Amino acid sequence: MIAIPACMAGSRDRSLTTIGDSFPLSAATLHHPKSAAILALGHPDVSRNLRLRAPANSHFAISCRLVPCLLVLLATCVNSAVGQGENQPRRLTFDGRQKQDPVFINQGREIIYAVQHEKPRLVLYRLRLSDGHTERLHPDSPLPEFRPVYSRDEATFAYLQMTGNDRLTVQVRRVGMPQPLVVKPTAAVIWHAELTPDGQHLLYAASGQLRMYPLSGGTEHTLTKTEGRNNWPSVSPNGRQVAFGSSRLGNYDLFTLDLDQKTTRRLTTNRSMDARPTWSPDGKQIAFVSTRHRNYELYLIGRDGNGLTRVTQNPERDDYPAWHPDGRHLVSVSQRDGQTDLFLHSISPR
Amino acid sequence: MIEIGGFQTGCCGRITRRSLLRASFAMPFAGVVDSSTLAAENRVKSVILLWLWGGPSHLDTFDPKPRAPIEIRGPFSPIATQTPGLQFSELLPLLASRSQLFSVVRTNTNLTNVHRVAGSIALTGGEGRNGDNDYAPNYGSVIQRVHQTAGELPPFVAVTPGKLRTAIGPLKGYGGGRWGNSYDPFPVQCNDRGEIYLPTLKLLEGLSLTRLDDRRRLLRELDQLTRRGAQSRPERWTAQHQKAFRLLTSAAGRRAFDLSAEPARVRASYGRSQFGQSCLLARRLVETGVPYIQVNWSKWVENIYDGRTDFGWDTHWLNFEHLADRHAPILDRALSALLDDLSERGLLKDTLVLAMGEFGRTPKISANGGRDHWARCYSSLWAGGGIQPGRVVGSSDSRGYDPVTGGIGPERVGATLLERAGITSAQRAALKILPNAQAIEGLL
Repeated sequence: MIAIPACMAGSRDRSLTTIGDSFPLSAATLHHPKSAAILALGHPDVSRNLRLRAPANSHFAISCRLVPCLLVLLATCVNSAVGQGENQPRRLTFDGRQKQDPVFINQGREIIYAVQHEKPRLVLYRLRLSDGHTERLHPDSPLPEFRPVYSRDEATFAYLQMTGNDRLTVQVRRVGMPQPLVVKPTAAVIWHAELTPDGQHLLYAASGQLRMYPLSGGTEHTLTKTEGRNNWPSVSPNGRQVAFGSSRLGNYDLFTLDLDQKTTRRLTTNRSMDARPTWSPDGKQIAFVSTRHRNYELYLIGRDGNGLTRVTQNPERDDYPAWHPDGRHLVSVSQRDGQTDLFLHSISPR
Repeated sequence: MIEIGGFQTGCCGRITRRSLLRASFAMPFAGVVDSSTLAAENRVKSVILLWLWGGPSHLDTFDPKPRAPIEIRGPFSPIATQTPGLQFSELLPLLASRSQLFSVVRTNTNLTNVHRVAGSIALTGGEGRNGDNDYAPNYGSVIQRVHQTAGELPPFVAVTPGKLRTAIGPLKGYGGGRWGNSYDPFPVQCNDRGEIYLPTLKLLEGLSLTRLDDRRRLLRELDQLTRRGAQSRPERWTAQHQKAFRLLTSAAGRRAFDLSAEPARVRASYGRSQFGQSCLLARRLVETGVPYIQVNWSKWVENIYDGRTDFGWDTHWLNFEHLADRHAPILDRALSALLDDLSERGLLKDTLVLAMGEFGRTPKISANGGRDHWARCYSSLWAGGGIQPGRVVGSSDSRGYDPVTGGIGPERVGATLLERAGITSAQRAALKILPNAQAIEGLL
């Protein structure tokens, strides 16, 4: 069990948050001035760091080992006292500006996301979870960039770049490839892109239809040919299914498309908008955003369309869900008190 | 926090040399020709126009058509409002839940589908006397001329990221029109942090002022500056500029522009967006007695590209993506907060709030996945003093193409706005501003 720094837990809530074993806890984290209640009981990284810092004095070393325990207990008591349960989301950014499209990388250690900026107006940022450090991903890029996506091994990275007024291209970068591959869809303007887990194909929505483009060469082909709008393609971890939103039957509902059998299955039936589906790392669940309770909120649903679960219940907007690789946490772009930031939500395993 | 040129100052008033070095002295406001106060007894004290430049889709906001064919109705569902029989797009839940505060006109019409012309018409009430040129003054300019206030704040403020324009050129109906640029609005920029930037109050190089609250010293240096300015650029340096500078020294001016003085709860309610904080600034300007505030949702407002023609609501492409991701949530929150805030402070009865663009968008979804320009029928939202709330004025046909109850042209929008601002038909006739236009009776 690993802890997230309290510096990302919001000024009113410094309780412990667990986010999975892959999360690194560095010495920098321990030294962070805002990291008051961050230590996870018994984790080897914690012990190692503590040992590194503790002087030879054994009493002091013991104290160092006890301090985190006491902090955890204190944090738990405080947490209980204010009535905040395990599912209270943790704030990861604090600038409050408009954001979108978060995605975990580096085994869940970092998040890449797009944020409103001065010039250009929308830029990609990298958030390092260990200490909350943020930096521009492409500091010299003069053009707006958003919707970052990665292949499973992160050797292929793609994002949308706006090159003109409503003119967008997909920039694809691969390890070992000095220049990015620029994909200009043949049909209209795209807004949402996705990579297959193997990084071999790019999916996007253009002119209301889903399209697939082989990055190794070849021609784009259309995955849907329906009335209405098809949007937000998300490829399952095994690469065989695409979850997406479609208004083919009226308003936006969620569907899955089997890429082998070419069959489509409806997952949700609702009079409100269900959007931005994204597969859990184990492929069993799909997180999405919906206005079914009027406000933008996050939900989960099983890949078979069963087990609908509401994740957020907040009078402000919760949007852009993205899974942590541990499958037990989601990051979202959420508004709290008018500020738009990244938040981390704990998910109970099914 | 106020930013003038390159500096920022809080309400307590600090000014730095660096800021002053970046200053200039173009300040075209407050030229008063007629200061008569022939206002009607029940006129509102202020008007806030939320200018949704580019043309919002009426079908995806205030006039959904759920029974239209799929290529028209779009992907969004309608939701009920507090007004019986009135439905909005699901993207506007906050406005839907407070529809008792406002009324909606669903049969606005304009004369053209061209942004620059339609925008000028919508902001002035009609075409120019010479086609695309020689437009009448903006409604704010008319109000400025008739209701010139004695206060230290300019009577016509545009909260705007920049001067409204298209790729062809600036919007003719932006300001004084044929009355000249002395009736142009006083532009104010407000970013998503609520920081205020006064671009036309950039000061002259050489002004060595160090303390804004040292009023006597400021005025003395301004006098010196005036003389220097008049010598160097006499055509742009008039007594009006001094008034502009005095805005900085007035407690009311600094107080109005200092959004940091607002409680955090209030600032949050508007949302951390450029448009949201601009709406909050508009409310503060109402409190200080500014009679006309135009908040522009134009290019650069929450947009993602600095293109020449990227004016906010012009969604030829990605209409549904832009609306769902950015535009509708931002508008829903900011406008709802503005109405609540004005209402809770008892200001709404004396303030007219109007939200509109220059036209709507094509009912039929284009091949590009967007909607194009549509001037034959669109919607506007009205609230505040003298407006009967909870009404729907007019109805469009089942697909949103045309009004079925008679279109309401821009001249009637202008007559209603000016009438509520206390400018009588006789005054309009004297000024040759919409002399024969009738107000929208269903709203009043």
